Amino acid sequence: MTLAEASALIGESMLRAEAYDPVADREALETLAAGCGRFSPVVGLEDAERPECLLLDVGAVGHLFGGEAVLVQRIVDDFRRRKLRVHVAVADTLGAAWAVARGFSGPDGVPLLARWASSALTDRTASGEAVAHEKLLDGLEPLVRDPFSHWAIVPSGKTVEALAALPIDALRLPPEAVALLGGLGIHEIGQLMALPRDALASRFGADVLRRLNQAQGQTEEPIKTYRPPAAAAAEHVFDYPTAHRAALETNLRRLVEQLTDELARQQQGVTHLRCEFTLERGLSRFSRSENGTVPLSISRVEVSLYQASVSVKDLFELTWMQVEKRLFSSPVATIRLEAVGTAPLEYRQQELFARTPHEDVRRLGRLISRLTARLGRTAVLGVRLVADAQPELAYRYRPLVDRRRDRRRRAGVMPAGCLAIPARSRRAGIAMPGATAGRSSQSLLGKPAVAHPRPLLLSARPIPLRLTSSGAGGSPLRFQEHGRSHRVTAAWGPERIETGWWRGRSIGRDYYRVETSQGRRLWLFRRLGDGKWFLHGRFQ
Amino acid sequence: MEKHRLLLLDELRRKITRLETFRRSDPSRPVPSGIDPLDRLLREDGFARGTLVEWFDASEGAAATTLALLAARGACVDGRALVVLDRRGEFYPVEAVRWGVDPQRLIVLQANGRADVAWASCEVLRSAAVGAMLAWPERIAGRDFRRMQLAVEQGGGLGLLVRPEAVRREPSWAEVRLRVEPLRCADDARRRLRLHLLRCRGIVSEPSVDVEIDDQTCRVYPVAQLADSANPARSA
Repeated sequence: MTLAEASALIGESMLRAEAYDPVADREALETLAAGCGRFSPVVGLEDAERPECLLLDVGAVGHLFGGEAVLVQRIVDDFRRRKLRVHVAVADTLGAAWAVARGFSGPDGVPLLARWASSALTDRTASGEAVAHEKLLDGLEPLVRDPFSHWAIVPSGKTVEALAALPIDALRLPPEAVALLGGLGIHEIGQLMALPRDALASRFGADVLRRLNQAQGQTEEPIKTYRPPAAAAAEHVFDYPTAHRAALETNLRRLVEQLTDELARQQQGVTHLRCEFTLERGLSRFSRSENGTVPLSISRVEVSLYQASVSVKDLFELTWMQVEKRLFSSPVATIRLEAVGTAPLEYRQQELFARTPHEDVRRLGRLISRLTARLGRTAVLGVRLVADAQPELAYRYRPLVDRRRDRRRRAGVMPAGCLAIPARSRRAGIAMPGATAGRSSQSLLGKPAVAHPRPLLLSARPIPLRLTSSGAGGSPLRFQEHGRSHRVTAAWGPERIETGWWRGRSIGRDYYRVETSQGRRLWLFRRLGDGKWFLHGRFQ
Repeated sequence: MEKHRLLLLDELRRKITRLETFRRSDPSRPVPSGIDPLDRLLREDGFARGTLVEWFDASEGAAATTLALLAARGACVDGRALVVLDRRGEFYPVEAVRWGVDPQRLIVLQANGRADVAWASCEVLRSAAVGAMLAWPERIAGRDFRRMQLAVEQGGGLGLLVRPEAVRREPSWAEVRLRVEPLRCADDARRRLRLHLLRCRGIVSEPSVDVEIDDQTCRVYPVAQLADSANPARSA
């Protein structure tokens, strides 16, 4: 769905569009993977550039939960508690579980489950753990216990039948291969399975044969287990507390090196760094800070970064920049450095030319981090336009380094999502439907909110004026601003701006563009309620 | 004798220009000012990258900010960021976006304190990811000004400083200095201005051009192109 379609459906004022953020998506999926550790000892993310599916090996654990159906139901319930939609499939192979989980929603959004179930499972053997499926088979009743999450269990040994009716793109094939097969009239996996296996690789590429073999269990496909990164921290204890600048600098740099070495091995970078200096004196005194009550003996420095980094130079400079501004009240006994926030590092191949967009992004990220470290988060701002008639509310500033956003990302808040579970050892795939569709790659940012000229300098709070003379129609002729009298030589307007009562506090203003005898062009308005005049902006 | 003296002066002027500009990071791609007649006046058909440009409002509201924003937009067309150093919190990004600034490439800094502002200016100008910095500084200490000039040379962007007329006589490290004088114009959607080129390397006199800003279309026209439509040219 495009942004324009969404806007037409729910109204622009209700629409909140955010730029697609693959890093946030991955972080959220990793959080969910960590949470799925309670269901299986082997949990991984699908091997894709932008994974959307969690993989669980449930072959040996189903009986611990009272059967696979109960296990799946608990998974669905767990995701529902997180307010997430989930598609769960259990099958003999990882590829089959993925295909069935993804096959719940076709490209047109129509659930494929009924079609799949009716054709693939009509001869399945009923067992005690698959009661829900029996219902499905009997009357094709929806398996869905909540209207948004779906789950299915492919009986052991029925993988081929289950796959046969699924669309060809459920095989995790590259788009070119799907297009090629589609062009030849091969739309379902069953049609592909009917072709001679020997000729598949040469006719359609090695990927097609590999994926088909993986789905049918003829090629082994292990799950790469996801292990959440351990909290990275490093500490130095001075034998003798010191306030010597060079000693602090040297040891802080060494700690940054230790920390980044550890994180780089995990392919993680720092997004939020905390540095604590324990001072020799003042242990009995405490102060309140943003992060709770801390002893006064601890001097804390927080560094937030725009992009994940393991650059020793950058991290040290950002930290030292803040340390330099502090005067420690006593010698420092210990320095502790902790990577409070981390994110996967984005590696880029060395470009042939130095000036590339990637290089600019990296440079800009470093600049934003440096500015934020010195000036504070609220001083380094990005802009978001808002569809609001009231001029001063037609935009929002947001800190470019946003800690709350980082926390939200780590909490795994996602709009919706798919979980696949394979089983030779039985396996599961969990797919997150709409995980990317819920975020728009478009945004409102590039859309001008107004067509009429507005001043480039606007007072956050309109400045009251005293009108001393007005012309026909109420346009201003002479006014006083801060005791200075101004004569209006030309006035254009009014342009009425009113806001609706449903928006909360409504406003009504008649705006005039005026030119004074000194050549200034100003933007004035008369408040409709009481007729008072204000200076709101200057055309400069 | 007089001719020989003029030739000598001309030669010296060229040498000085070469010496003063050889350090520019990218002399081949000037930034168009967005005002054609001004580009023709500037020696390099636009503002040289890696330089500071000062704009003086002859009177408050003379549109220097609009013209500086136009140049900033030109400096950022290659996708680099525009940084606005807004100490007073008055910059209205909605109008800047209407003038063609990409909001996704717009960073607003609300720094306070002389030291922080001077430091932030140099950091921004030194970054190669920044196409232009727009600021409204009043007094600038000589040392800070020099640092800004060195920083912008290193970064290769454009430092656009909109300053009050009162500080025009102060020493400056800007390569180009412009004064914007408002002229009377009866049209509400247009502002007529006279641009005085106070300083530009290789130019001795102070030439000026008259232009009109069309706020509706967000374009700037030379005044001569806007002949009075009420007096059409006579047909033969």
